[in-house]
Formats: sequence, C-alpha cells, structure tokens
Amino acid sequence: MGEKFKLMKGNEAIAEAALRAGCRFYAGYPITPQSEILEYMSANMAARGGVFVQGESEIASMSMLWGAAACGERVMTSSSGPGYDLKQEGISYLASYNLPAVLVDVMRYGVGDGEITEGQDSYWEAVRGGGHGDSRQIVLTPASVQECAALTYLAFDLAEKYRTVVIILSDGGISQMIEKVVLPQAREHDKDQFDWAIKGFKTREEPKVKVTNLDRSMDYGEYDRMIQDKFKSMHDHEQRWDVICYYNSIIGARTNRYAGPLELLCGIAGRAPYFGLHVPENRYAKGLVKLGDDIKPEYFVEEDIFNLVSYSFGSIVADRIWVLEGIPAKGITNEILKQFSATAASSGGIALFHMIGVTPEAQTKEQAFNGREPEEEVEIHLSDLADAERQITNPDVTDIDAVVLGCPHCSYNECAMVAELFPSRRVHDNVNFWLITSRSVNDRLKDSGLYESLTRLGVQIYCDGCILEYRNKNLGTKTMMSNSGKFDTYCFSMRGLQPVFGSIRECIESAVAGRVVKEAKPWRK
Amino acid sequence: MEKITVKCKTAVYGNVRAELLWANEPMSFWGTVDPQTGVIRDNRHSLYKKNMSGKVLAFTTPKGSSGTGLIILEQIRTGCAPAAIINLRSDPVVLTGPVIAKRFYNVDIPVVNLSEEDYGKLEGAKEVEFFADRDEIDIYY
Repeated sequence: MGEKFKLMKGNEAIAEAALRAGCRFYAGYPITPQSEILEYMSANMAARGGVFVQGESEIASMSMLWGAAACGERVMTSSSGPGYDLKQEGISYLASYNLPAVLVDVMRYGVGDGEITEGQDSYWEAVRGGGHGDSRQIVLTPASVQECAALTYLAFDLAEKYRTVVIILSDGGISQMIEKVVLPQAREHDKDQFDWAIKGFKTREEPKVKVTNLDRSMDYGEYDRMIQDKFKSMHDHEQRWDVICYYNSIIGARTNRYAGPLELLCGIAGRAPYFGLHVPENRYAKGLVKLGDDIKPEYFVEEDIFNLVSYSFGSIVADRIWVLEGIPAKGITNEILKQFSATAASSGGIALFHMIGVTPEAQTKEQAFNGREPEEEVEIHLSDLADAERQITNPDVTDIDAVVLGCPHCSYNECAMVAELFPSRRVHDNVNFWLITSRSVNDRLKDSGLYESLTRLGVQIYCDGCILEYRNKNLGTKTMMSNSGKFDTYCFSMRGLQPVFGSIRECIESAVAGRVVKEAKPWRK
Repeated sequence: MEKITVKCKTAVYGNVRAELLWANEPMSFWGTVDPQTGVIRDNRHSLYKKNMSGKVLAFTTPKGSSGTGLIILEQIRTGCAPAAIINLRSDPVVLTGPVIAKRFYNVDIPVVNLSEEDYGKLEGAKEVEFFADRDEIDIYY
C-alpha cells in the first residue's frame, strides 16, 4: 500500500493496469500512437510470467487472442486507426465464440473525412459494434491517464462478466500525455475458474458450457435468445451516466458532487479540477456502519429493507466516506444498488459509499480502509430501520390515489417484475399507477410487448422526466405510495403531501386493493 | 449586543451582516427550499417554514440532490437567496451558486466553514458579520 502514484503516459498506464488486472497474454503489432502499449508489454510481460507476442500483422495478433481467451486467460491487444480496422474480423470471431478479450484502440486525431493519415477518429466504428456488424461490444472511453488505468482494470472484469470483447477507446492525446496515476492493486487471475474454458489437450476435458453455435448444433432460437439477452443485459447494466453516488460507488468511476453549471464548465474546458473523489486517497473510507445482530441476512429479500438501511446510512454518514458492513452480497441486483445509491444520496450528502463484498473498492474491508482502522463505528438496528421508515412514510393514510414507481427510472427488469406481480388482476379504478422509465427502456417495452401488457393492467407509463419536478402544482391526488426512499424523502417538499413507503410488492397490492396494504416486516414489530 | 470573533475558512469572501438562521443538521436546497420564496418546505427539517431570504443560513453539511447548486442560483435570480452561508464543510454543489453569482449577478454571498466547536457557538446567536478581507466572522448575541 506504500505506492502513492507514478508519472506515466496514457499508453503505459493501460499496459500496467492490464498486467495488474492479471492479463498474461498480449499479442500486437506496432502502430503510432499506440506503440508504447506494445513496447511496455514487451518489456514487462515476461517478468509477470505471461506471454508477449509481436504478431506478423494486426490480423494475426488479434486471432492469437482467440486461442488464449478460449483457455480462460485474460488477453489483450491494441492498435490504432488502420490497424484497428484490421482487428474487425477478430472481433467477430471472439463475439461469435462469446469469448472475453480487451481491445485497445488509441484513436488518431482527425476530422472524420475518411482520409488515412488525418481522419481516423474511430468513434463510430467502435460504438456501433465493429466486426462484421450485428454484434455489440462494451466501449470504455478514458478521459485521463488515471482513467486509462481504472477503465482497463475494469475492462477485464466486464469482458468476463458478459463473455464479450471490451474496447478501450483512448486517443492520441491521452496516450502520449504524462500524468500522475495511482495504479490499482495487482491481482492474480485464475484461468481455470470458468466452466466454458478449454482446459488443455492433456486433460481431454470438454468445457461444461458451450460457447458458440458455429456448428449449428444448438437450437438456433435458443442461441439467438442467449445472445440477445446478453446484449440487453450489457445495455441495461453497463450504460454509464452521471448519477454521482451510483457512478462512484457501484461502477468505481471517479466523479464528485458537481452541480450542473460546474459540469457544463468542465465540458467546455475539457478538463475537471483534480480534487475530491478524483483523487484515489480521498476515496478510502473513514468510518464504518455495521448491521446489528437483530438485522438478519434473511431479511434482505426485497428492496424495501435496502432503502431503509440506506436512509439510515445516509443520515449517519452525511457527507463523509463510510463503509457499510453486513449486507449479504448474494442476490443483490443492480436495481437494488440503484435504489440504495439514490436513497443514501437523499438522506445524506453521499457521493461515494462502500459496501463490503459488493462495491468494487470494498471487495475486502482492508481495501476499503486502505489497511487502516475505522476512525468511528456505528451500529444500526431494527429500531433504526423503523425510525427510517417513520421519516419517509405517512402512517395515517388508508386509501391510495396514486402509486409511483420509477424514482430513479425503472429498468426493464423492474418493469417485467411489475407485470409479474399482477397475476390476473389489475389496478383499482380509483388508483393512478404511474411507472416512469427512460426512453430506451420504453422502446424495449414496446418491442417486447410488455408495454401493452402493462397498459392493459392499468399501468400508465411515462418516459424521461421526473415526477417530482412535474410542473403542474396539482397532480390530482391526495395520497401517494412509492417504493423509492428518494421519492418519499422529497415528496412532501416537492408535491406537498406525505407519501406512503412500501416495497414494490406492497405498492402493487395496494394499487390493486385501492388502499394501503402492508405486510408484516421484522422492523415493523 | 454582545459580540465574539471566531476564525473561519473562507470559500467565498464578502462584506455582509445579517440575521442568523441556524440548523444543527445537513440540508438539501433541491426539494427542501422553494426557489420562488426562500421558504424551507421540508417538514422533517428543524427550519421548516422558516424563510432564509436575506439571512445568514447555517447548516452542518450539504446533502441530497446536486440540483442544490442550481436552486441557490435561481434563488439569487428571484431575490430570495440567503445573504451568506456557514457550514462545517461545504462542497462544490453548495459553492456553485455563490461562486457563479458574482459573475452572473454581481452579488456577493460569502461562504465560510467553521470548526465543530465554533459552529456550536452559533446556537442562540442573533446576527453574523462577514468580511471581504479576512478569515474571521463576528457573531452577535
């Protein structure tokens, strides 16, 4: 932990971060402005026990990844401009074999007019899938040398999570720029952990999971669904946007609590001041919130308890960086983490939190605290969850006029869950059921037929926008219910009425009944 | 009026003396404050129904939506912004309004940070004075 920072070029940061992420196979071919990646790998790969190959061409080196990736190794190649063009065939083969690999494209500068030495900005080529078309890759775009390291380190995890090619889209400026960079901790990669990887000729062991359908031995419809589900999952879970607490905590990106005008100025300047949570040292935790023994792991089945823990956590922590210990990692979804982030950022001023065993900078307690001891510890109990619920719910409401889901906007999964929770019933005539989602999820709801199913149940779907900011002073309702700790925190201030808090299940039961239906919960005793 | 002087860390300087509105808890402006009137409309907040317009507003730390920066800016435009802000710790969200206000509206809204001990001394105080040329404030009882 003694290492503070290094001065590195963007290209070197990418290469070193890849080695630290456990990349042990690199094949490439020189081309400006990416050649330092190749050179760095050439100089350092052997010492880390890996294999470096300078192939006879871009195509050859890309194809070598295919073999190494199939064995479960963490693999990477890099190129630029016309060299990146030559990698496209390899992208398609890796995609059709569903193999993880990291591909760095250090874009040359250009105006995009198609001319080979000037106009080679590969943005569209990268973000529109590449390869022979029809496949989708995750594209990460570093904006600094620090992000070169952070995103490359992350890229290997994402590649394996979805068994996909992840493209790091760097550019000539960042690649040559020398900046201070704090490197991630080195970790070992276990190539034998995958049930889809080839174990080697001698074992004669077939992989348990089939990764490709090029021999057409699988039912094509089934294979197609698997691929579509994978793209949808990448689309739903890996799109990044500036929701500070979620972005920092769950994704492990580096941002601060900026207000709109400052972000605008950073956008105009193309730079952000290096302060606050951009600085790795400031991201380590200072204090610890522990769940008491009376809050049992088996209570964590629905999003309501996460919202209440989050409300309590935010109230204790305020604007400081703290850790939450005791949340069972099993079964935790992105939707739950989204709710947790939003609620903690409402009851507190939280721009970053750590959850041990869940969030990327707190895989262990030691990592979260950088090996130090917590300066302060607080334990929360069922009584604190009861207090939290009292803060965001109105106990006096019986009849419900409106149910609001979608603060933050519902994901596709949440919309599907809503439909599932209405078996052969519909929204009560006296109730407005408002579901708010993003435009892209709205499109998917329409494509999949879920939009129609939900509408038939009496659910009104709105896309984009924020119901709390709705310009009409009167929503025409006297009582509201929501599953969102954030909505319920702001509802009185913004809409002038105290809402009822409940899980998504309770919201739907209440919508069907036309009155508040609450279940027995451990914190409600 | 009895007066004490305490050291502060200044983020935005200005010469202002005004009545104090003090809360021993964090605060979000987005949601909590009506940007048309300056009234605090969060029924959980200790300053519920109080109007911050033209007053020195003290709260421990910023919280909630980063929309706070825009709300303060809007309050300056509509004439119901606080005259100055005191925190234990400020952040860019709270500072956005006061920093940009100087450029947009030629208005000085001083923002200072106090130690926990000095922040506690504000309880029960009537007015606070800020100075453009030094890192201290005068607290009047």
